Amino acid sequence: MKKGVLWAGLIGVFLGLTAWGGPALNNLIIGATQEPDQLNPWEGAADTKENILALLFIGLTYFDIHGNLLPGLATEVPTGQNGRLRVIYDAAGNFVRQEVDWTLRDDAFWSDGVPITTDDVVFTFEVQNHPLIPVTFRTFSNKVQEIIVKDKKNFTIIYNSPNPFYANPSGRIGLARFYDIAPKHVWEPIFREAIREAQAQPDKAADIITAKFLGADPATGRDPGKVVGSGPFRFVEWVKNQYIQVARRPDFFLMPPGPAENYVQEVIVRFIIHEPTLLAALFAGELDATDDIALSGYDPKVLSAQGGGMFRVEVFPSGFIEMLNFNHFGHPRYAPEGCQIARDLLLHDVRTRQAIIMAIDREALAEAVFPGAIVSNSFVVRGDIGYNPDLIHWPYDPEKAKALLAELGWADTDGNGVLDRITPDGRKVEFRLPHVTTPAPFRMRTQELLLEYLAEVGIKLEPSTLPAAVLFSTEFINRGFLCSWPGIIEYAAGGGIGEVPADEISGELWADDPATPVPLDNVPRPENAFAGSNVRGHVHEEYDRLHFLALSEFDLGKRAEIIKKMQVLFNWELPFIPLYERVEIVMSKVGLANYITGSAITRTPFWNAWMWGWSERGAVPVY
Amino acid sequence: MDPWGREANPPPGLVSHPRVFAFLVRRLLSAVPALFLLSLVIYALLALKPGDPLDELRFGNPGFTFEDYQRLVKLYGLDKPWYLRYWYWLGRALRGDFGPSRRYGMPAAEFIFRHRLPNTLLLSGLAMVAAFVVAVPAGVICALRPHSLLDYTVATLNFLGISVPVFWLGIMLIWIFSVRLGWLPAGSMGTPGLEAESGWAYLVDRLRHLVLPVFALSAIQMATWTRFMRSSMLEVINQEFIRTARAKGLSERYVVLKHALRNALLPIITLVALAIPGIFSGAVLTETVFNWPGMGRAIYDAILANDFNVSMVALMFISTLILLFNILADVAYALVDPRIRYD
Amino acid sequence: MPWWTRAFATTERKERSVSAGALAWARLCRHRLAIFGGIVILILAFAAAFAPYISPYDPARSNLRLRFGAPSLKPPPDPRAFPRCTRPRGILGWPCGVHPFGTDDLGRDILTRVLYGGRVSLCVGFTAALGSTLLGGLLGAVAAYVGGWADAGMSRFTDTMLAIPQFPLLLILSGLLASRELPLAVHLSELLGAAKSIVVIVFVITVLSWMPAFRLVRGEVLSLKEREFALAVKAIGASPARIILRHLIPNAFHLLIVQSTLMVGEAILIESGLSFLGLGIQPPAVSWGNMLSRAQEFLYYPNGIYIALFPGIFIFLTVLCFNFVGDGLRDALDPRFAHRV
Repeated sequence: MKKGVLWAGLIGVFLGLTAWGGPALNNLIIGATQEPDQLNPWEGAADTKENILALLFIGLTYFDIHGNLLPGLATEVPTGQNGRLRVIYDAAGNFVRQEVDWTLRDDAFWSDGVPITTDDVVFTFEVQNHPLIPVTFRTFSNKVQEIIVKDKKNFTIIYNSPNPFYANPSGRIGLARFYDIAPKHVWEPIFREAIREAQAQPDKAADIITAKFLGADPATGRDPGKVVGSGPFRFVEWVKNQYIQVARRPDFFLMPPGPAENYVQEVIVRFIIHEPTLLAALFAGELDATDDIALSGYDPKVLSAQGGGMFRVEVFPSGFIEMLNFNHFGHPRYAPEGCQIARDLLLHDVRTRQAIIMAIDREALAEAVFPGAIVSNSFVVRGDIGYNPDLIHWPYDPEKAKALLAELGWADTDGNGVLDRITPDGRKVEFRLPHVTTPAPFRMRTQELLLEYLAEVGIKLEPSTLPAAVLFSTEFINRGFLCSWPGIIEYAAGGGIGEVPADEISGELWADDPATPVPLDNVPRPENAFAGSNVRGHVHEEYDRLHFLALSEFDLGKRAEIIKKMQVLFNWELPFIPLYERVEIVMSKVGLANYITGSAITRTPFWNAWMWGWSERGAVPVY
Repeated sequence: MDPWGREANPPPGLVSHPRVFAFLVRRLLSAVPALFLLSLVIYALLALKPGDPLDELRFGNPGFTFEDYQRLVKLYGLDKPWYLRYWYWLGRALRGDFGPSRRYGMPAAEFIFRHRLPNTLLLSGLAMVAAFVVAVPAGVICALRPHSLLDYTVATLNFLGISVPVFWLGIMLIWIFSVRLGWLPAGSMGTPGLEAESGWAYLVDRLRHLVLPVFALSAIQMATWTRFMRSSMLEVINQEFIRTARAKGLSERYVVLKHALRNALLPIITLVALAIPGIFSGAVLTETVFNWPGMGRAIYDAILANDFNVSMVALMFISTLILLFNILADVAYALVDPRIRYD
Repeated sequence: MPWWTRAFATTERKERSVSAGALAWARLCRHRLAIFGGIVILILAFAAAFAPYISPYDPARSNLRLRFGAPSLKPPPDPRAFPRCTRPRGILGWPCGVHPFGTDDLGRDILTRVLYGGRVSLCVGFTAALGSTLLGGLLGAVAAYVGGWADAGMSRFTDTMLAIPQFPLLLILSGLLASRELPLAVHLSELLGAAKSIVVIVFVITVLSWMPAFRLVRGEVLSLKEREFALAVKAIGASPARIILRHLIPNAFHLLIVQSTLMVGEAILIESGLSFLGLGIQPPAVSWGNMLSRAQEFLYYPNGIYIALFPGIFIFLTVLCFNFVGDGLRDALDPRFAHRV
């Protein structure tokens, strides 16, 4: 009898223990599917780390959900009006240099109490430029000519070429990026030591830098006291592959309305790689919210039904456009080399691409494959200031598609359902279109639907998948010239112009920089050792001209106009077929205030971490 | 001859084999070149696979220029041919330096042995212990009562256990026990932040998180071993000397425990020895479903991310263990079955 | 006899004087679970083979208006919701418009996909099992017969092969075979097209699973080769090949048969595990494993559970039946009872 009671009691305790969290403890447990590799600010895959680093660091500026640029570590955002931005031209009207003045806040402190000063800025910049450090964001560090320090809080950046994104925190532009300024007092000794050792043993330099610098205690969290940041929370603990725990900093300079005790005091981000398991944890009540990447591709209606009223499902534009990229290396300009398969399929002819876009019912596809997604016809996302709403919306019209294909010389001469034609050199080719993408479930569904749609017009799609690491490897994606992917490659990229054009979709669309003597700089070919991001090989001179014009235009409105013109060209030419704008889904418990992404410009719900709170504890819902 | 008939009919397996010892030494020595060859082959395969450690960087960072890529390739020595890189790796590995993990920054050996191996040992080790602890008594009882209802029930459960896909079992378990019933947590190793609490709550929390994954993982092992134990036990029970001992009028229980069990256990020890390396290699499917950061998942991620150092150290560790335990199992087998000669 | 014994036990035996093979067959027939398993497997294989005639649907044809349909035997009242079928009625009377197992996330009939998927899964299972058993058996017999250095070398090689963890090797191999650099991989892609992943899976499972057969046969042949009949044949002057093929291996047949039967179940489980990780059969080819893998996303959707339930049940059932049959074969072919009924 007693034994039975004991067992029953133990089992009861066992089962009764619930996860700790929520309003009771005034903390927040967030589920994420991707974990950062380490926390050093200089290296690594940006997207997986951005969320965590947004808890620990803040940049000179940040965006809110309405697209306003607000000062973070800086006292104010430099503009032409307040005199902090000066662009200097010479007598002939040529650009000489650009100067931007920044002032750091007096009440900006690192999480260990040390004030944030220009010493940190200069140190960060020095590390970024060091040849032995594998920094990956040098695009605009390269533009920085020098940094002039006036005193502990004021500094000026001098750019040697125009940088319209000098204050933008979400681009990859160095120093205005929110986690870019690193604490010198923590990292400098480690840095000097690692460099000294690496220079003493040059053949092991890479390993030493990786082990001693990139993998040092502040980056791995081995010593929590060393993980020092400028952001709203302070690092507490990182149990690898399980969770990261951070605690609110009472001395952070951005405050939510009302007493800080009303807002969450602790945040725990739990890493659950397997999405169904993360959902299970969410519905079991173990998680309070998810980040923006975890629930990609799920149907928001289903999620909210499943949540049973306990959760709020937020659907917001992600800023990413899913693209069907064509191999243009069959174009006569690459002859006699280039990709023969693409040449045979006439993928370089604009009519082929227009036929294909009209053969697909993109609305139905988007709904079935990525619920909530919006069909796109541009390389810019809706809501962005440069978005052109007056583009041709290519309709679903299989008859027109068939007509265009017939115009190109395709016909089903042998009655097997697949179009064929005779090439100029007398060979008979069938329209077999290879399609390769990552094995994400929604992409595989896309492949299956595309197979059906294209079969209607006589095109046989040949789908295959490759893991992302293989697909995006330079050996693969940059060798379209050699037919590594001879037909279509599908992936998504950021489609905004608030971003730097050089690195998002529009950065992949230009072909030749007129300022350099080298032709087709951006197109990967044997001549330039397959360097460049225009992996499709599509060339359009007028587009290139407008691209570089926009790059040097400082006025946002004027720049937007130029980019709208670029979209008109794109819309007709279709170097890639835009399928849909992806949306991201964020789920959070009802009662959690201010946990919201709001728009593509903020990118994640972590942009205002200091404002998260439970309304039953008194948090004021501002958004 | 002693009262239990030992000298007249010695049970197999307890005869000493000096030849076997020599055999063991020879096998151990010849395993060394096998390991070298294995390391070469694995490194070659990893190197030939398209992609390199920099692709993660490139993929995640649109700002990654080609100049950056070239600079990093030179820095990491990736422009050297793979056999040269293997040579460097071998030289350092023999001195105990397995290099840093390109992804995590920390030494690869530390990542594997401190952050992954203990988790795997906990999960897979517990699963194996659970399987053993259930299988042996179940097998013995079924052998003692053949063709009874219990025997057939257990046999049916065994068939079910070896036929179900383990990842499916895991998903269904989570669905039933975490989402629908809410009794047990949905994966992960523990509830965050509990270490600070009292030791008792922490212990119970860890145990709760172990229940479902251990059950899913041990199901197949349990089923296989129960069947094996039963048939091994049946075989031994039919041996002459047991009948002899029984004829002498001893209580059945004594007969079982003293003679049959000891001899029936030997073949299963062989099986267990062969299964032990499996503990270290982890179970990538179970670890994925239950979000358990173990060796299986570590190897899988490292291969996909082209993190050479981590892949090599983990794979070589497991391979060494497997070779070692195979040799031990062969020795055990030789001791048991005198028909096999090892000249 | 208690009821459970009656259900599971073998029937009364009769004394007869017949060949060993017939005796084995007779013993097998009395093993009721094995018979049950065998019948189910035959039904499944039949259904899979004749899937195009049994089902009125095309497994790849999506019907975006009927997504996540519940299983039912009633045709939908709205004729516009009828998917475009390949025939109005299957040969067993299955009418177009009825979805006994429901529809999946793209509106495709689940039962149809299970049948077509069965083709691939059973095919992969059989081929891989047969291939690995024959390969391992042959190597084992040769190694045991020849003995000496060759035997030691082969055993060492087997140990090395066993030392390689399965999934990582598959990962590496699939990456290699997908690469565009390797001429072999490109050639395979051109040759096989969509069937490439199937061939790759069978190849890799075979290459990783021949070791148990090797050890089994080697052990058996080692003890067989000292027996009188083997020595006699050798004394006559038969060539080693003849001895191995005509005399030694046939006596190890019972091991090979049991091993390959049990291996089929294992191969199917391996394939489903690999597809779960995304390394197995690639769409648009259907297999039970890759149906399960895609179904995880939809566990929480209304009627989503059926997309996962049915392939899982079929994998389970198939593996179970192969295990029954293998068990029965093992009992039936046990040489110790070769002369008893």
